[in-house]
Amino acid sequence: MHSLKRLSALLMLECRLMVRTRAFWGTLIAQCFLTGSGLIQAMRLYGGASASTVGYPEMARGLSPLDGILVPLFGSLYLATTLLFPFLAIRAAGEERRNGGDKLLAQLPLSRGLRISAKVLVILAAWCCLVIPCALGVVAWVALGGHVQIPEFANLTLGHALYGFTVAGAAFLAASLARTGAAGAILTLSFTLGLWALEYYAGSGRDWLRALAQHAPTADLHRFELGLFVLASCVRLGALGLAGFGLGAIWMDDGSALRLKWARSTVILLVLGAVLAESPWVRPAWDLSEDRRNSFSPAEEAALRRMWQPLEIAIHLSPEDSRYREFEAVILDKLRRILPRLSVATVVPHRVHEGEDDTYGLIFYRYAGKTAESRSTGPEEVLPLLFQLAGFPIPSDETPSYPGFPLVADIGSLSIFFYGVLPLLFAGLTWIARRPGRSHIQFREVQS
Amino acid sequence: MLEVRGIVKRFGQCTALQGVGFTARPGEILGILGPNGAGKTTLLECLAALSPAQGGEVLWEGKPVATKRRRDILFYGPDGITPFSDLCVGEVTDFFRKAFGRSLDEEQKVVAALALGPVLAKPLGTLSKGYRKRALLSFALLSSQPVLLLDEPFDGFDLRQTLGVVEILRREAGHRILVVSLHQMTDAQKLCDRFLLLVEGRPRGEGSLDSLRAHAGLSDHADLEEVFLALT
Repeated sequence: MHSLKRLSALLMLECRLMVRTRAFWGTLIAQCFLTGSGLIQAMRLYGGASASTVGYPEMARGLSPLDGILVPLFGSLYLATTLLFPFLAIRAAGEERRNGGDKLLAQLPLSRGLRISAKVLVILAAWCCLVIPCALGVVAWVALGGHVQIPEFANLTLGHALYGFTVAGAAFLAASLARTGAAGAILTLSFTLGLWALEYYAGSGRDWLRALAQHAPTADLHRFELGLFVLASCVRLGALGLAGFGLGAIWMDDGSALRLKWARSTVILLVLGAVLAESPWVRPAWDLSEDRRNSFSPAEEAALRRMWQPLEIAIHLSPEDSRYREFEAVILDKLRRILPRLSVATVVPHRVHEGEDDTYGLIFYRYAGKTAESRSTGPEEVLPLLFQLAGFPIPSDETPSYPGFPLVADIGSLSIFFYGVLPLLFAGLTWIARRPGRSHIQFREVQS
Repeated sequence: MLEVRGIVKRFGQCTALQGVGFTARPGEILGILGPNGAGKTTLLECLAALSPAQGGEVLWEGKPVATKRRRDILFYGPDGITPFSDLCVGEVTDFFRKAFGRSLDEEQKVVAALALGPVLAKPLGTLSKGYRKRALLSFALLSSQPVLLLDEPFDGFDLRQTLGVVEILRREAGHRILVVSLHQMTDAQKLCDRFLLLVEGRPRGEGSLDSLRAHAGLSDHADLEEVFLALT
């Protein structure tokens, strides 16, 4: 009971330390502008596209609120998490370490784990506050008549939360290693911006770089943006965040010998390495997108699941070729989630230019001793070919097609809300939060 | 009784503390004296397990206290820190009261004794050096551990404030063991019952002023400063 009271007192102290900083409120106000800008631009483009679909239901099918509104809206959260949140996390994690406050806190009658947990909880709560403008953006979209599918929205929020957890872990570790807040910020931004660089160079880089980029936090977040819930992505993002917090906790403990810190860190790094290395084998994944963009039709998937023997695919295309990327997106990614015994080999000839190699552009299939080849990269031709190899009839697709959700809305009031009302509200809250607390005023009254 | 034996602390090739030990009895104030760089702060941080020592042990009531359990018996009030700068003094005293299970009455007494009333509503970061020092002392006095380690508790105080704090610490020593590090001999002589003389991380003498005088072969009129110079 006493421990609980002490922990709640510590949590209150950590919360006060967070909300008293101008940086926290400044970040929230900046997030209002980012969100407003993202939402207004997205709704303008979505409205324009919607207007052109009037009378053409076929065209309306291409209008998904996930792509058109939610992903751009949450893009502001991604920017804030990548560029602004690290500063908050570093301040919360490292400020008392630099000014000596942690020497006092280390002597509280609370375990080290609880003290670190209180700090981590407040950092994560600060990230949750950054979600508020985005959540209000979704409310505004729905209030204007927009459509939101809950599983899609929840999945996207979860992806950003896990990405925020990873960045928070990196910031926590950076705060423990750096002597100054600025050095900590540089370390964390090196991590977050390094992920951008990795994504950029992986497109035309070596195989190992491409493999690394496929399992980087930004790539995992991208899967959530596509409406996919991939357990392996959750495992990777969660493990990276936990490792960051764990390593940070080790290096923040000034009372431990250096040798012990290295030993504990090595254990964490080994466990992290094992989890990351094994994560691609964690297969479960669900397509939560309303338009089932990441899946074949239910009938086709049911038929494919009956292909229990190994399927080998050899792709004679350069990975830089747009056909390769299309085949990867519309066939391979979907097959991987259905066929556990799928093996894919990329055969890149020495002379990759078309016309110099007869097999360039061909994709070879081998299943149950039978082989087939095709130059097609689309499901209309590839799936019948696979069913033919397996000896199954082509299933008929009776799934109703995605209707699309076009919307032309008046977005005039959104500017006033996101650029005026909400920042002013947060500015007012800044003033309230930075006023003297109630406890000592009460105390003075008792004294007098 | 608190016993410290053979504390060794190295920073790379440099030995900051070499076999430092002392004994502190209930109801007394032990002063650790030494010039700047003698290792006083390092010793206190090692004792409070805020910095790892390479050797030595701490015994409480005759039993060794593991590093992890030091916070059960020792509270260290550091010097020269500027924590919680955005929080008001009253909020932080309130926090320490709750964290250490002290009563509101005890908090009021500490605040009144250190004359912190006028600055309770002010953020710690805006306080003068004297008030900040008193606020830090109030946090230490609100702790509940039986041994209080204080690093340079008079640094930043004028003569009147120093005398006031001496009185407060004397009262506190009635129910706790106080170990204070000082480099001003006049302050030390006013406050402490016994002394540990520390120079370049090595102990040069331990005991009451009388026993140190005898050890140094000085007359009964020699003050602490003369004893210190004779022994170091």
